[in-house]
Amino acid sequence: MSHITDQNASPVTVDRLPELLSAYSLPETDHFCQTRQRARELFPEIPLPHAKMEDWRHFNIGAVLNGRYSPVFGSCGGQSDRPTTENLLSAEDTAAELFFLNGAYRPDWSRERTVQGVYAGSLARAAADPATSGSVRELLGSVLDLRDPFVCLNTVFLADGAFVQAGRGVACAEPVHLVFVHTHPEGTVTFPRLLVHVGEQASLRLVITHVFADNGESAWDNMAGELILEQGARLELEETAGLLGAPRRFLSLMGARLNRDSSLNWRVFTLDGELVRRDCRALLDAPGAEARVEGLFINSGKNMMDHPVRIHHRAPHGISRITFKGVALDESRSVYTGKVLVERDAQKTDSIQVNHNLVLSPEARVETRPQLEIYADDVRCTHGATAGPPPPEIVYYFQTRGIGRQQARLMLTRGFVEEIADEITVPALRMAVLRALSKRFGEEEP
Amino acid sequence: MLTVKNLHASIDGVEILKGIDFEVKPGEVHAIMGPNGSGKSTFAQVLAGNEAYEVDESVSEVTFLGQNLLELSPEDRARMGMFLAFQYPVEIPGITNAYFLRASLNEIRKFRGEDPLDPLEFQELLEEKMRLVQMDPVYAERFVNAGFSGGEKKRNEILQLAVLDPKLAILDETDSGLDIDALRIVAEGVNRLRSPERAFILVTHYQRLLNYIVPDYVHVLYKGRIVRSGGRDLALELESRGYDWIREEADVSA
Ligand SMILES: Nc1ncnc2c1ncn2[C@@H]1O[C@H](COP(=O)(O)OP(=O)(O)OP(=O)(O)O)[C@@H](O)[C@H]1O
Ligand SMILES: [Mg+2]
Repeated sequence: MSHITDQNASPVTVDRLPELLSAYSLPETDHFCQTRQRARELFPEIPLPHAKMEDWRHFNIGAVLNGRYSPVFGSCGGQSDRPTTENLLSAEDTAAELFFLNGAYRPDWSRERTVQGVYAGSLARAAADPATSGSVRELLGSVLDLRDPFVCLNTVFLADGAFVQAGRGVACAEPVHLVFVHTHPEGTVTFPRLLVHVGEQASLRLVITHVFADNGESAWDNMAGELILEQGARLELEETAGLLGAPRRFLSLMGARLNRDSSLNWRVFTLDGELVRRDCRALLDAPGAEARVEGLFINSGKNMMDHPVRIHHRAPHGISRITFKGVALDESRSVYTGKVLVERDAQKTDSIQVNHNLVLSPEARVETRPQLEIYADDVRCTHGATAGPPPPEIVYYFQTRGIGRQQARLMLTRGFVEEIADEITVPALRMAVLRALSKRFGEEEP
Repeated sequence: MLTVKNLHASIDGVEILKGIDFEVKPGEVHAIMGPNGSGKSTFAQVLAGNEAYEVDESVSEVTFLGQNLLELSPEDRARMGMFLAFQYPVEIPGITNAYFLRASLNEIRKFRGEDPLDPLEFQELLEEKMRLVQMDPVYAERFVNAGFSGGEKKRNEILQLAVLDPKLAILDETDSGLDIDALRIVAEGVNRLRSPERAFILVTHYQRLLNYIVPDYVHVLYKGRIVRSGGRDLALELESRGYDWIREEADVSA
């Protein structure tokens, strides 16, 4: 495990790249050499995002990019013990429990179990193993666009990550638990990476837990993940951040590609975090694919959260559902952008997008932008969005039943957030999220 | 129990209640009738404490159980034993009937200095009251009024009334939108809840309800004033003669 701290960290810029790379001890000849090389050559040509770009208009990306960072990988002075995740999901109840520390696989913390037909472990190891190297070579980078600056940057520093693969026809009922531990000092950045492959007619349940601990003020985590669902595959994905520790600066870009008749059920929870952007994308690449994306964020303090969700219907008979909810408190800034793109060939697309935001403070701001871009003529697509405080007539109704205003707001908020949490398919995790929510919106006014 | 003197109230600067005098004693049942828009719901909402209405406190006086009602928050009025069954109950997504009612009852119990009911104790009480108003137990786990039909919402209000055990219950057109069976069930529920300690104010358009729940007094509200009061015969008279004669009399004397 390499450990780098660059004392003279300066902004991540094109000119700084060679210097950063030299400070980052990457293996000279691993299986990602060429991939990294491509990214390194491309990176200088990609404009970095700024506030004037449509996609970045409402997110303070400047606050991330103007920082000074040196890349780190593995242990680097943060918390060095294996964090406890038992209260979310016991290792006993998983098919495998894998830990990644600042992007590096920690076999000593993990419990790998052998479920027939399932690989779950280090991406670097999978790239080296003849049994899996072909898949890794073929799939890595096949969903996310390398021309996205953050994907590119992640790839420039690619050293390891998580790889989960369910072979053709394999049904893995118990969840695979991936725990990404982010713990590193101020002025450092990590590049966690994820690759998931669900084979033909296979089904997989995946729980991703982001743990944040002892992070320096400007610690930045720049995650990239790819999910590939083959024909008839099913993936249940539960992804939480802010349940165990709060992110500082967290950019994550996750993309899924769905083949014919495959189905993806994806739930994203951002329960805390200072400056967070979690990009969720699904490409319905072949007929009959179905993607459901549900999300919940809770934004407080002076924090900023941005959740861009994109569904791209490329083929006919696709179904997509986006249900995203947000709770905005204090002086927080929140953005939701949902884009459903229906290509000309994607006839009979059935898409529903809703975004509801509960705004609990007059100083909180929520920007909700559900969008539809349709080029097919025979489709059923709807979208809707709301943002506002609990309706006064409902609060009044509570009052006439003896329930004071504050408690009414708490009860309404709990009801609002529980609706998404109730959908979590892993019972222990569902209970843990519900517990956290009821603690958050318990007796006292948020 | 409730004394209203010269109650003036307005909404958005428009005066709706123009001097109401009204008195309710324990055990009594008062019916309030009157043409559409005369201010019946306004009166009910003002009693419950709806802040959308502005009460002219320089002239109005309302006492409830010896306290100045106008100084109390809506929740304190409810905790003291006032209950309003809404003409248009709101839907509350995300909160089940059972959870809502238990929270409500426990607030009221806390106010009375009683221990809260745990979910199991409450469940028993709720099941008993649901039988009383002949409501299917599945409604306990449905979100409050969400997707309920008009009649189901009204019946749900009566369920709340039965569970919360108020001292003064105001029913704003609870009979409207009910089919004849539901009307009978609601009326039976109310009759069973009648007691020497409890009073009712029934806002209604229909004599029909008053055949089931026989009132002690009937009042006619017109243009924000009670223009006539009487016994149950008044309701029968209104039923046969309509409101025109009331209008004429009132407009002449005004
Ligand atoms: N925001 C408002 N601004 C002005 N006038 C209002 C407002 N809200 C209600 N009103 C008026 O107040 C009057 C009384 O309304 P209220 O609902 O109390 O009547 P009601 O007697 O209950 O009628 P109904 O029998 O139809 O239920 C009506 O004329 C109504 O139009
Ligand atoms: Mg009315």
